[in-house]
Amino acid sequence: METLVVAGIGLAAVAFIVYKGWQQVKGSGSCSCGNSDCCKAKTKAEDCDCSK
Amino acid sequence: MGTAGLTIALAGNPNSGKTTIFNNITGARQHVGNYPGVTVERREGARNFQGQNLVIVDLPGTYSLTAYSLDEIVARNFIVEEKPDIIVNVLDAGNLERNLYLAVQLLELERPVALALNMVDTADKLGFKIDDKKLGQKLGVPIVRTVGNRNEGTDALLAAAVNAASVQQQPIRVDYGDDVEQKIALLTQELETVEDLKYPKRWLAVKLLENDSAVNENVAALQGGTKLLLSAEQARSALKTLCGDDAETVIADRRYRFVGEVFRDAVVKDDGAENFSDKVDKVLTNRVLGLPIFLVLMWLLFNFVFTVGAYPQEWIENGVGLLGKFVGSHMADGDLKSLIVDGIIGGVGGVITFLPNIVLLFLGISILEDSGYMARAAFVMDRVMRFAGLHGKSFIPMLMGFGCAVPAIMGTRTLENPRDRMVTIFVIPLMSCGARLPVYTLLISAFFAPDVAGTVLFSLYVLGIVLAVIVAFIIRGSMLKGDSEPFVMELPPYHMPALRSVLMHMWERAVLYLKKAGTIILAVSIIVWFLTSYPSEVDFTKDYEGLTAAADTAFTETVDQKVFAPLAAELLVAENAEEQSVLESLTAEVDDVYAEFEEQTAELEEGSAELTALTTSKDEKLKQLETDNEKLYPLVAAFMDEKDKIKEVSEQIAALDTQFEEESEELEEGSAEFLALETEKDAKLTELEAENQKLFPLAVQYHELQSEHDEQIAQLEQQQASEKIAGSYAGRLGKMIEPVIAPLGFDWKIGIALITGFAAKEVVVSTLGTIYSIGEADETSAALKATLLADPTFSPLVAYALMAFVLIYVPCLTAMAVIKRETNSWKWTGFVVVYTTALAWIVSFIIYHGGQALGF
Repeated sequence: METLVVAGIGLAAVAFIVYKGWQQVKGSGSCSCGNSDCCKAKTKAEDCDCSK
Repeated sequence: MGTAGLTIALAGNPNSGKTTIFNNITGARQHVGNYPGVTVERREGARNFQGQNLVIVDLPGTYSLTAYSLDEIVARNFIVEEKPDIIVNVLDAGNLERNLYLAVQLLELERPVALALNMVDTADKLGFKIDDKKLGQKLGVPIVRTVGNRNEGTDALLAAAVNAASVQQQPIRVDYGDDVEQKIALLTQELETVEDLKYPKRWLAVKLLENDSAVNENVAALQGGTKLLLSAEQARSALKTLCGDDAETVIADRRYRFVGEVFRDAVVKDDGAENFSDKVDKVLTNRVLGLPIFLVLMWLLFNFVFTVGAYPQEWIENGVGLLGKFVGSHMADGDLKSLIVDGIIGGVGGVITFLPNIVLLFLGISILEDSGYMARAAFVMDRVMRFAGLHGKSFIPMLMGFGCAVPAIMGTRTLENPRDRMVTIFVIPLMSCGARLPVYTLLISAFFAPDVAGTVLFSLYVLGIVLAVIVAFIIRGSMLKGDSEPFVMELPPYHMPALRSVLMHMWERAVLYLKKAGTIILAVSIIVWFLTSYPSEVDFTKDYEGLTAAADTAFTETVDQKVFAPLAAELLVAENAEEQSVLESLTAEVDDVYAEFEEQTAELEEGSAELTALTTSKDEKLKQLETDNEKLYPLVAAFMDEKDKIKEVSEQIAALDTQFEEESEELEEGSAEFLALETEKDAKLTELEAENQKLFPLAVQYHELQSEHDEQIAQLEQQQASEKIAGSYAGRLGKMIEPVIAPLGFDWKIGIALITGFAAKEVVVSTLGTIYSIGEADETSAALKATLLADPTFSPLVAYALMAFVLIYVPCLTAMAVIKRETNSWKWTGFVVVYTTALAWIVSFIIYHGGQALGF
C-alpha cells in the first residue's frame, strides 16, 4: 500500500512537470496578460485571446 | 439590473496613471510603477456602475496615435479599429501640455471622450493652476479631476464617462491653417464618394496627409483607394513646396500650436517655486554623484533584505525543522516517511524559509519604482548603457528584471529600435531576478559573516549589471550592429509611494512565491527524492552491518575491561573461591537479563503495553535470580547500580558538552563570552565530580569511550548513506556531469541542483535540501545551511562561484518561453541558452581559480 501511495505521488509529480513544460513550450496558459483563462484549449500563445 | 455593456478604453501618455485608475475602477491588482512602459498589453476588467455593466480596457501608454513601438500599436489599434464606446483619456496634470497632444488626436476621432485630469495634487505642487472648467469648454468634453493613487474622483470620472456615451459631444476642431485645411477639404471631398468608411472622413484625411502607414494600407484596400492615395501624395508634395517641410511635421507643428493655445488659456504656471522633483534631481541625477548614489541605494536595499530578513527567516526555519521532526516522529520508518520528511519538507521547506527575503526585496523595489527613482536610475545609467550601444531606456526593463525576467522581457516592447530590443532581451536574464535570492541567501548566510552578507549580495547584483553591459557591447558590435536611437525619456515627478500599492505588490509576490513552492518546487522536490532514493539496493564497497556490529562488540569489551572491571574487582568479592565463581556466573546472568531487556525495548515507546510486559518479565527473572542466590545477589545488585550510575554521570557530562557546543557555536574562541561559558561548564563538572567522587573518573572514561564509539558509528552510517545516494539515479546522473563542473569546484550534488534549477531557480535550494536530507544519516539533521557548512566540497569561494553560476546560467523555463515568444525565434532562444551557460562556466571558473590563486 505504502509503495502504491509513494509511486502515485511520484507519477503525479512527473505528470505535473510534463504538463507545465508542455504549457510553457506551446505557450498555452501563459498569455501575456497572465490570465490562464485566455488560453484555454489553445496551443499557441499567439492564439490566446486576452480580451476574454 | 444591468444593461448591455459599455466598453471604456483608458488611453493616455505613458506613466499618466492609467493602470492605477484601472485598478481603482475594477478592483484589479495590475502592477503599476512610476516609470513609463509598465503596461505593454491591453488588460480588461469589469465593473457594474449605476446599473450599467462596464468593460474597462487599460491600454499601453502612447504619446500620439501615430504609433511606433509595439505597445503603442496595441493601444492605437484598439482605439481606432475596435472603437470602444467611450475613451477616457487619462492626462498627467503635471505634464498637461504634452498630454493634450494625444487628447486632441483622440477628439479628432469623433468618439465620445471624457478626460481624467490625473495627479492634480502633483500638478499643484509643481505650481500649475489648472482651470478645468475652461479646459473642458475649450475641448468640448467633460473633465474630471482625479488623484489615482488616493482613489479620488474615480466615481465622478465613471459618471462623466457613462454620460459622455449618451450625449452628443461637440468636440473641438483643430485649425491646421488655410494651406493644410485646403488639402484636408480636398481629400475629405474625395472620401465622400467612398462607401462603408470605418473612420471619420476628416480624421482620415489628416492621417493621409501625415502619410500614416497603417491608414494608407487600409485605404489601399478600399474601392478607389489607389486614386485617394495618389491624391494624398500630391497634396503632401504641394504642402512640402508651400511650407518647406513635410506634411507630417507641419501638421504636428500646427497641432502643437493649437494645444499650446488651449494650455495657455486654461493653465497658469507659478514659476517662482522650484519644485521638489527638480531640487532632488539636481542631486540624484548629478553627472558625478548619480551613479554612486544609485550604487549606494542598491547596497542599502540588499543589506536591508539580508539583515531584516534574517529574523523571520530563522523563525520559519525553526518552524520547518519542528514540522519535520513532528512528522518524522509520528510516522513509521519507510519510503513514505522519507518522501515527506526528506523530499517534501526538506525540499519545499528550505525554499519557504526565504519568503521574508523575497517580500522585503519587493518592498524595496516597489518603493524605488513608485517613488519615481527607477526612471532616474535609467537616466543615470544612460552613459554606461551608451558604452554598450544601448541607451538608458533599455535599463528600465533591465531594472524590472530584478523582480522577474518575464515582465522585464515583455517590457522591452517599449523600445522602438528592434536591435535595441533584441539585445535588451538577451541581457535581461543576467539581471538577478527574485527567484535567485533564496540561493544567495542560503549560501551567503552559511559561508559569509553577517557583517559582509549584504555587500556580498550587492556584489552579485552588480556583477549581473556589469556582465549585461559587456554582453550587450559585444552583441551590439557583432551580431546586431547598427546605430542607437537618441534617448528621450521623461522623468516623472517624485511622489510618496502609495502604501496600498506597495503592500499589494509585496502580497502578490508572496502569494506567487508560495504558489510556486506548492506547485513546481513541490513536484521537482518529489522527483528529486525519487532520483536520490532509488535504486534502493546498492552494492556497498564495505560490509557496513558487519563493521557496525564489530564496533559495538569492541566498545562493550573495552568498557568492560577499562571501566567495569576495576569496579567489579572492588564490589564483586566473595568469601571464597567457590562463591566467587558463583558470583561471576550470577553477574553474567544478570547482565544478560539487562542486555536482553535493552535489546527488546530499544524501539518501544514509553508506557506501551509491550514495554510494561517486558519490564515485568525482566523483574520476574531478576527476582528469581535473587531468590536463588540470596547471599550473593545484593553484591551483584550493588554492582549493577554503580554501573547505572556511571552511565548516568557520563550522560550528564555529555549533556554539558552538548550544551556548551550549542551555546558557543557562534562565539569566537577566547572571547569573553566564550570563556565565561567555559568557566560555567567547568564549574558544573566540578559540582558533578563532588557529588560522585568515587565514580567520576570511571564516568569520564566511559564518556570518552562512548563518544569515540558514537563517532565511529556515525562515520560508518554517513559513509553508507553517501554510498547509497551516490549509487542512486541522481548520483549516477550527477557523476556523469561532474567532470564538466569539477573545474569550478562543484561536485555532482551541485550539478543535480543546477540541472533541476532550470524549472525555477528556487529549485536549486530545494534540490540541495532533498539531496542533503537523504544523504544525512542523522534523522534529526540540522538546517540546510549547517549541513552545507559541514560538507568539505563547499567553501566561501565555491559558494561564491556557485552563486555567480546561478546568476548567469540559463534562465528558467518560463523566461525561456517568453524569450521565444518575444523574439519569435528558436534560434535566438537557443543562443540565450548557450551563451548564458557558457558565460556562467567561464565566470565561475575565473572566480574559483582566481580566488584560489589569491589565497581564498
